[in-house]
Amino acid sequence: MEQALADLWYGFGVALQPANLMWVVIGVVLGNLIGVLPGMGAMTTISMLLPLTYVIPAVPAILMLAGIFYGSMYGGAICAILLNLPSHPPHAVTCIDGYPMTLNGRGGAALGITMMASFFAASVGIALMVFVSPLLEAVAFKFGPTEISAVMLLGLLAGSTMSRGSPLKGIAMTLFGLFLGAIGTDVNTGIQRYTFGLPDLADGVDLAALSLGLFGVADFLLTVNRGEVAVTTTRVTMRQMMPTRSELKAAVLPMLRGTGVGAIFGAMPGTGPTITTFVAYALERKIAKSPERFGKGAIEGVAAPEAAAHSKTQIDFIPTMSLGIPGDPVMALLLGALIIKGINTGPQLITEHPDVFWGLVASFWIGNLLLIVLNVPLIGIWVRLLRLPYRFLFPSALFFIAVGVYSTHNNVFDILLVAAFGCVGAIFLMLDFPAAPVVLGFVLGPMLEENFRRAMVLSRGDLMIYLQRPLSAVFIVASAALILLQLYSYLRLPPSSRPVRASH
Amino acid sequence: MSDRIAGHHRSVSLIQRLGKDRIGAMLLILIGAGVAAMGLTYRMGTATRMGPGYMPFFYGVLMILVGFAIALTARPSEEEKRKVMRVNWRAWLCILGGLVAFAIIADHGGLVPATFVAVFVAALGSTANSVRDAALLAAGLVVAAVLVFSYGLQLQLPLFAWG
Repeated sequence: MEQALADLWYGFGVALQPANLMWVVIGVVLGNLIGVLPGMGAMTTISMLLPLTYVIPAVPAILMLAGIFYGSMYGGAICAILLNLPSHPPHAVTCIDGYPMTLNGRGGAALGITMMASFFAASVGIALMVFVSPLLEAVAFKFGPTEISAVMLLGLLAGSTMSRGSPLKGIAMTLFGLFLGAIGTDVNTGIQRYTFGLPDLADGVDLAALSLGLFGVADFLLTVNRGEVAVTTTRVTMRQMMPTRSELKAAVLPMLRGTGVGAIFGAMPGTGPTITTFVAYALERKIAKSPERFGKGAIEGVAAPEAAAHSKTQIDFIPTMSLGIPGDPVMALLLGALIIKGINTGPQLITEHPDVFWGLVASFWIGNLLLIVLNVPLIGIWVRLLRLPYRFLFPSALFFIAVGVYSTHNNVFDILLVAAFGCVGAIFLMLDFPAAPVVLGFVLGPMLEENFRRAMVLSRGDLMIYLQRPLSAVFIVASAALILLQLYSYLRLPPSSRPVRASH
Repeated sequence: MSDRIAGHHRSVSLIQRLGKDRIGAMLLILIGAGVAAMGLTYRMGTATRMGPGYMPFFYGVLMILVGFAIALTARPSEEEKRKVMRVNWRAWLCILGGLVAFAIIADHGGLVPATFVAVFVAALGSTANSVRDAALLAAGLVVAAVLVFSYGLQLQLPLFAWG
């Protein structure tokens, strides 16, 4: 515990180094700037800015990505509350009461509460990380290739089945991602797999190209000409962002409960932030004295889900960083960025790269603080950005995507890859197959294969080793339980009530 | 009633009758079969000493199995059968075309023409954009490209190139 506090102190030292702090600020501002644009979700924003981080060292790069993530989350909340347009799925719940608040002239207060909820929830999440991470450090040395591949299996299964939509489709898309991860030179033998003789594929598929295709271009293909997106005439000034005393009073307890819901879901890897926000919202409505106010601008309906989303994502960083299993596709992207930087993610990360881990933890807090400092004066500018019509937005975004992807390798091949993945992604989305698990599989695939191969070398090809080693047996049993749970709920639910809609 | 409607549009009725799930499942089985077949061409090895084809082969096999599971459990609703899946050809052509144009022109013409053509073509994907609007937007982004990326971020791409 004391050690963890000392580590956190060290982390603040890392994050507050002028050069690192500068990248956090840039990340937060750019993330907010792009995230606020209608239709630009956290995934699109992070993938668009991912190439920028290729040129800087690992520690500032990951700090900047965390900043981008926070900025884009908050930018998305602005768009959701003022335009009724959830670019990032978890914000769908925020819209329910956030937009009516805007119509009632309290949009500014909703934004203010969102900011406070996010800051509070992130602070709680950080405190929890300080408690939990020493425990993880203690078990980390027990992780060999067998345990790592077992926990990855669990992570992949959880990530693909426990989000919204059909679990089978989630698994299917994860497998597709695993395959995409196998493209390129095989590390063990040097043989090129699935490169179709293209030298540009020898190093594998570029993460930014993949995610920009799946989350940027695919989205444009399906959105353009589907009716022009609404334009707001709302004006929000600094003064309006301050909630009234009664609003603040009404929001405090929901904020606490939302944070609690987020923390519980955060402990379950694979449950997406979207489910978390729905549960937090449902809870508030259930215990409210006058539930009929919900959907008409109840501030509790904004505070609780936003707090839940933020404490959930904060705590999601624990399995992402310590076990190498990302809780959702956004985490998978961040993990992928670390791997590109040559950092071995997994149980050894905290001990081997304390600067990355603790710097990141500290930068969350700093990033959230920066958001408050920045958004109060800049809110007027963000609101003006919301007026940018979609017909101008998507060609501009396409250009930034093309240049960004080009700049990573100074090569046009990746631009063609973006177009191809955009096409594939749009087809799958049209068929209600989710795109997010692809990234999960893609990022974890190479690690899964490497560790599985090593484990099999150690056991001389005997799969039973997974049940003989206690820690891996736990993960395997948990994976089996997950599958059984899905089967059970499939057989029990009548066909009509089965979830058929895919999530992004 | 729905049969009569389907009969009138025989060309789309097959797709609609199958439903999204089964089409997706078929796509998946096809991809899985391709992945597994190509996996076999790399050395498989044994479980103890896996070759490069071992894991991908099983990814492909699993994709086929999951594909069949999706197809077997699919229950397309009546509502979905009637809903036509419309592909927005203009948007697809212009957006993907814009990206490909950027890729080709960047190599042979430089940043300025690549930006202009890519943005112009992509913008025309929206029916709300006139040719004039698209050209103005493209010109505006050319200025941004030169100032921000070329001078600001030192992008390694000449403004103009020949050949």
